[in-house]
Amino acid sequence: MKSSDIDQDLFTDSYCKVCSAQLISESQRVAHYESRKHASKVRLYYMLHPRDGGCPAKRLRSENGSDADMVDKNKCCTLCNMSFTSAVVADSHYQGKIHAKRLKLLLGEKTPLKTTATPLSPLKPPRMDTAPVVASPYQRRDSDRYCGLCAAWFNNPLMAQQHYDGKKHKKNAARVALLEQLGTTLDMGELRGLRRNYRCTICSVSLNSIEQYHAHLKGSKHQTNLKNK
Amino acid sequence: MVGAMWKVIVSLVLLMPGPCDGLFRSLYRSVSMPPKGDSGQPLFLTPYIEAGKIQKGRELSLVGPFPGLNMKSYAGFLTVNKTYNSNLFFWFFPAQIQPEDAPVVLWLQGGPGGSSMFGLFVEHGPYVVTSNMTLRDRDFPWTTTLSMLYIDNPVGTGFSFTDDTHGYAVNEDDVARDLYSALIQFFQIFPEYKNNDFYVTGESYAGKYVPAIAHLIHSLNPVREVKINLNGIAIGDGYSDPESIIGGYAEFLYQIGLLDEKQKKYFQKQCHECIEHIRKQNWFEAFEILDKLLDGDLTSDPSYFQNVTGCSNYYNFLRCTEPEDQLYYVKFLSLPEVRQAIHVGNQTFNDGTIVEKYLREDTVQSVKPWLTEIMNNYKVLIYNGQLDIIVAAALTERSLMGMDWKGSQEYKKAEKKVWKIFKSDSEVAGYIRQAGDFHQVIIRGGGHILPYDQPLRAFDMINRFIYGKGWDPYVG
Repeated sequence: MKSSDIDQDLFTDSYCKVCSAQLISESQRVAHYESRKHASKVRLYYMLHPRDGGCPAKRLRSENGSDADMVDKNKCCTLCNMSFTSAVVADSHYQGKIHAKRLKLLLGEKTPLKTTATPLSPLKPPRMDTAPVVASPYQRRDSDRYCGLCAAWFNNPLMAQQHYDGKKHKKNAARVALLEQLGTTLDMGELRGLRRNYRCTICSVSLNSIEQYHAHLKGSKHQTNLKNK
Repeated sequence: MVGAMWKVIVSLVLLMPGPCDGLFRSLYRSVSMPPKGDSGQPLFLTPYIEAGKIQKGRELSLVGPFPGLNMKSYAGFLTVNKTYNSNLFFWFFPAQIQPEDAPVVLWLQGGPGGSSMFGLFVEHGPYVVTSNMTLRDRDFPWTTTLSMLYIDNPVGTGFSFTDDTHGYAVNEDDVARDLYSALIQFFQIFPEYKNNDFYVTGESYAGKYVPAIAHLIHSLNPVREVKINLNGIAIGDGYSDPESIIGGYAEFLYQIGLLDEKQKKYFQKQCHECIEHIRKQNWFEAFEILDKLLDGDLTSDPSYFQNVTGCSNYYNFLRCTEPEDQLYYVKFLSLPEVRQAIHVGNQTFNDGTIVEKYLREDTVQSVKPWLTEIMNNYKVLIYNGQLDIIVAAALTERSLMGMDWKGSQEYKKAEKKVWKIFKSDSEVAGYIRQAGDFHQVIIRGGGHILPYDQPLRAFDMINRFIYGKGWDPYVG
């Protein structure tokens, strides 16, 4: 069953709205609509935009925070579009290979599945006996659009979550956390800015780059001031 | 007396068959490549100091533009012995955060003959060299919070050089004297740092250099007008007291499964003989035994260790060979534009072979008396990677337990403390034993080249020690 058979407006012969892809020729259209990338984006799209007759989806992050939007994960898995007759069956599904495989596909090959930090963890059934997790100094989460600490922009919340779970961000967060322990208070952007502050104490000027700094040193103003000192 | 000494040295030199490496061989080995293009001219700062043109010399030493070299730093040569034209090369990085107040930390590499450029590019400087000879920023550079001074030491190491064979150090007194001269000149070029806390740090064979220069500073400060504000020392996987370490090799290697029972007995017998020579001050004979057992420098054959384990790496017992990327910096330093930027010109980047020859008789000698004096008067950090072989953590503790210093009793009674960086961490960073201002640290997951193996833990450790933050986990 192709998705295009159901939603004609989303998947036309010349344009795929879900993937924002122009389809110039028939071969390109066929290749695109049968690609794995398209399939995973469609799956993500339907999670955010529930179809009639299908399993109602939830947002990755509820904007109004209302619990009423939460689907009962013991009755339905929106990712795999499966219904369950009992909590035992549901739990069996969530622990199973099929669900994990779909999660992996959804996240793409570059991001290996992490059972402890999966971005889609809200889809899992609640584990009532889990102790509340202490906020880790390696996290230091910023917004879903931009991470000031790492100077990284994100196109969507999923991308943001991948960044915040990544090694690079955790290292930067750890460094800031350690520096705070030494009594150094820096905002997220300030640490990076340290590298770019080049001050000439003789002329009392600040330069914005190492190249400008070197050019300044060779300039006549600096040479004159140096001679006078 | 001088004539007799030189007879010994000449005889010693004549006994050397062919090229060989230092005690910690292949790690620091390098071949300087002939540079193409303009390498600039070597910058000697001593004439500017003597002429009183401090500001001029300082500006000339500013490291020039190069892609990736984006931190302000200074480099050049300091003449430490005019008679022999001995010069020490330094590269200085003011701290990124509050450089006016940050402690100044001298870093000395091992070898002997190992360049501190290794510490800079492989361990804790701000840059890492990639395989395609570009630079990237290190995740946890010590230069963030500390003003790091890297000196190629002793003369003849890395870019440091001498024009006379008499200029090479043959003992730790020579090493300390040249270093002291360099430091006095350094603080003349950078007088704004002379009152900042000063620390001497180093790794491996620098376990001898560090106590030597610290002790000389300690001795001369009361009688010199210019004082160096020594606050403490830090030694990583230090080869300060070879006798204690050698005595424990056989059992240690057996316990970690690298030697079997029969091999252990052979090792034990050889080490015992080595120690007998040390006690009789037969330095060369002692060195020869150790070389055949473990290092494989003097002889062209592989060492006994390599033969029975199949591995040449004795820096991390999880690895058989040394990581390839630990040599990228050597090629990087051969690039003409880099040489121009750091003001070394066409000077040879020495691999340490010559230095090691002249220090041959120093190899198995101990600096324990100097270290004891420093431990009695200053902050001291002795740290080890848990996975090191050549200076194993347990063998360092063996040496420390045998020392007689002000805090001996307190140290022996001190409880081992489990160290985590943050309270929420599930991983343990290492173990601490503290007595007053003395700190012994063993870091998990790291070997001899500790900051390379465990950059975050090494960064946390050095900051806790220098800034006096204690070893309780931080609340994140």
